[in-house]
Amino acid sequence: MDALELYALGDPAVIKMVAEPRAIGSIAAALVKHGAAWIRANGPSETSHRRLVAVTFALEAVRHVFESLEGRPAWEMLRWASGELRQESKPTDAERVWRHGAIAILQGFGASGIDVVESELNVATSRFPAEPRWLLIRAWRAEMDGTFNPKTIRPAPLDGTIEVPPGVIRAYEQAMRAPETRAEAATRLAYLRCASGRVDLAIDLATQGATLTTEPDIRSLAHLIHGWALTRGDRPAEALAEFRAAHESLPASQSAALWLARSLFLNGERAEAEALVDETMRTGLGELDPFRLYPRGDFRLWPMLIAQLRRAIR
Amino acid sequence: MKVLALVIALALLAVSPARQQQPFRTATDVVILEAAVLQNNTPVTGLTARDFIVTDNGVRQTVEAVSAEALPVDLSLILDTSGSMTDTVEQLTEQLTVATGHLRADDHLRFLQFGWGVREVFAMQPPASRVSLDKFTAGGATSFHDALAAALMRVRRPGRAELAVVFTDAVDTSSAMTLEATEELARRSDVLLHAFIVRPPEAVAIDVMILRPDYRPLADLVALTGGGLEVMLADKHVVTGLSRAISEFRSRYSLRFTATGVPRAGWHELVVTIDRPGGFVVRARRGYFGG
Repeated sequence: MDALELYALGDPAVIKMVAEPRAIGSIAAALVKHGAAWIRANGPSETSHRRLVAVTFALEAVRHVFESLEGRPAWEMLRWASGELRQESKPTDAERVWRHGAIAILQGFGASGIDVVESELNVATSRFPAEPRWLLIRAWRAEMDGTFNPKTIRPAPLDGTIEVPPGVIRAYEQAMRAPETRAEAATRLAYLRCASGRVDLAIDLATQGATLTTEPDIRSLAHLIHGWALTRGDRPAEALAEFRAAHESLPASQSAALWLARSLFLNGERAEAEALVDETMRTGLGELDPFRLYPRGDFRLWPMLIAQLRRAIR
Repeated sequence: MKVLALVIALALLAVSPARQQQPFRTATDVVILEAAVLQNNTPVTGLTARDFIVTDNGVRQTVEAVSAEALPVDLSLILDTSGSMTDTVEQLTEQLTVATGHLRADDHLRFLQFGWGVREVFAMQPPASRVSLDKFTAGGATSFHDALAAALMRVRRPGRAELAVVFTDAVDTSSAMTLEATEELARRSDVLLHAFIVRPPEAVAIDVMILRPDYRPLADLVALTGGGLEVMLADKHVVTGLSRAISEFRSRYSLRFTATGVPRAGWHELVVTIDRPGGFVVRARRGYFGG
């Protein structure tokens, strides 16, 4: 068996190899050169499955260069894999998940992946025109261009002075029309309204975000933003309740825990605040915290998307 | 007992409605303020109450007593292990391991690190039983303000003093906590926060000698707690820098005055100077919340 076949079977040694950022160069070169032949080696009946194995392998390798900034071979491999998938005459659900995963990774790369996001988003839209997720990602793209700090990839500061470009607001309002993305689009728009000093609008949107979904990440983020809006509106007692709701929605969110602790501390409940801080430093999420991932859009969904793909190739 | 490194003992009079409406209370709030005094970067000892000038919201106060008891220290060491610290974190960790050997037997130590998030490597414990600092691999984003907020939210233990020392390049990329939100904690915290901006060992001297304008917000934040900010190379200067910060912390005077002539509620801005010639530098909290 070769590495790709072992990967499809979930072989730990191959999974470990693909997770090594320094391997990206050789993996990319081998796939771009020999991948098409491997995909077609067992005849037409296995081609679609082997194609999905190869492109999923490529996607997972690209994810692991996330921190190493080895962008170029990653982009080449991603383009190769995207092109291979387009050769399937009929788009499948697995392809939709793959394309979503590819865009999610590119969002995770921040500014260095933004041009590739645009081209992959166009391909994804042409293959799956009815997918509402693409509208939300386009809104993220507009937000990144319009309000993010390009150097640090920080979202707009919450000082109430940001002018949010109308195109960004329109893009999120469009994404709010689909039930699948309404809560998340409302939550992100709440953040922007808070950043631009529109506390009233921010509170209304954050309330929608928290009530329209059962997804813990989004609920926690919506409550957190609601708390920030109330803090800006000088309503500390209500803000504390929202930070508590954010923490209860997702106890592992360090952002929510620290803001709840801060409210308690300023309220004189110092021992409870200290205990909460100690707890979140032991168990809190690092890079998967919903607010820390806010600038990286759907990258938060990567673990779920790759799990779906791994199941599909078994 | 409520406020920060200050302890406000509220010897309250029974307050009548009429008195509550008075804009200025003849309060009997006793304020205890800790201050380090330096001359040529060296702690100055032997000062008495008459040597200190303290103003509370611009009104000069009478310093009633001064003591210089060196309490055991609860030290939080906070290390930036984000991607931008890649060139310095290994050497920095080695130097910190050496530096913590200078703690007293009755001191306590804990170790925090931050990158994407804030993590407690080990909890507050006597230095003799401390875990040796592992080698960290730097990487990822920088939750700097989150780490400062986490360090500031401590309850001061009776008979002990709280010191936090952070080593960082001071670039925040991923915190949920803003600088403004952290400053509010700094005004109310019992922790003295001292910051070292760490430059790679090969950095040129001018990088260390100048305080860049973008470090000013951090300098202002640590000053609120009575702490200082220094720029240093990630070499043997770490040992001397940390030892000096601890020594300065231990040398603090405890000043007591009864706040008079100022309204009790709200933020009280404090200024401490020395009533002697000699180029003294005083590091003390910038104020406290009354009420």
